[in-house]
Amino acid sequence: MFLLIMHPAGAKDLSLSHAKAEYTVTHIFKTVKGVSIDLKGKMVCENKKCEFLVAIGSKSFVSSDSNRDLNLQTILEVTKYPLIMVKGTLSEADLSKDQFDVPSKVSFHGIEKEYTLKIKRSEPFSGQLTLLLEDHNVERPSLLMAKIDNEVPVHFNFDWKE
Amino acid sequence: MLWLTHFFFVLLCLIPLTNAYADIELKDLGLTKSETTLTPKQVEEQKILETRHSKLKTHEVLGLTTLGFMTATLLTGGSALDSNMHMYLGMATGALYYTTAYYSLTAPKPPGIKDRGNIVWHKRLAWIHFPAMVLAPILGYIYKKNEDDGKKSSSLVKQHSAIAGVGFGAFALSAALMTIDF
Repeated sequence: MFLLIMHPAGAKDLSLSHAKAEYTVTHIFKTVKGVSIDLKGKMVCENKKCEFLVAIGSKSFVSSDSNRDLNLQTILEVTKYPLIMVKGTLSEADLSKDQFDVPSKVSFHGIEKEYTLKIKRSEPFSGQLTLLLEDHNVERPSLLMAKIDNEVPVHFNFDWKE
Repeated sequence: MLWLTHFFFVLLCLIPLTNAYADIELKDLGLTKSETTLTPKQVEEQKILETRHSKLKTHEVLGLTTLGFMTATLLTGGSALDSNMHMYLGMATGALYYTTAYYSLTAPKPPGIKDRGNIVWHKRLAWIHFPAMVLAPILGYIYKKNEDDGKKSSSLVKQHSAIAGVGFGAFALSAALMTIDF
């Protein structure tokens, strides 16, 4: 009985693998991309429902310029908010669909907001959500008096393994 | 009655366990406490980052102001012997240039960070515009003094405008590197 409680029948534990997150920041003069492969995640599927949590190291994003990465770390207060977290619930049947939306909660810069994570089945999964910097109290960096766009699309590639 | 008590006991045990299973926590991802909580060392690191950010923001504003003054100095070079405008603009440019450099040189950098990208060339170009910004004002001063005294200037002194031009080019390129991706 005790063992049955600890490991409910049909429950599936999945870990995130081959994961990558890429942000795209747009400024009037340039478009910048930064990549992180420091993603950790877990999904538990039980009774046809899956719940997941993914954590990304805020400090782990690397762009083509080291100075820009340090600026990003300052603005995101990475020591105070070391993780960007995405959590949500989806139906297990969605995982076999070509395309589906997952309502998710994103904790970024210490503020949690709701977003829709758009998932596509390709290599084997890719997803995208568009972060709104000001909603997370992030001071938009500026260059030559012009601020970067408030909308920052974040693209994910990932897989789940048992 | 005993079986009913037993049933409720099992039910009470089950509720928290199933909830714990459903709510995934950060520790379930294998993250250590140091990865999720703030340490005094990290507070110090954030202070360094903020000081650096603030100094480099001032460096950026002053650098662009310097570029404006540098352009005006170059444009007034032709009338340098007729009025003192070129000299005054040059003095202001020099003061702004060295203040800009001060903010860059005193900006702290977290340990273990290796320069990458346009910042590498931004720094390398200082090896061209810095010597030019030392030489150009000195040669300009000597040239003007010689002209005022009716003396002939040496060939090096006559290179004042060429050296200032090279310095301006390197400085403008350095600023452009931080603004536009080539």
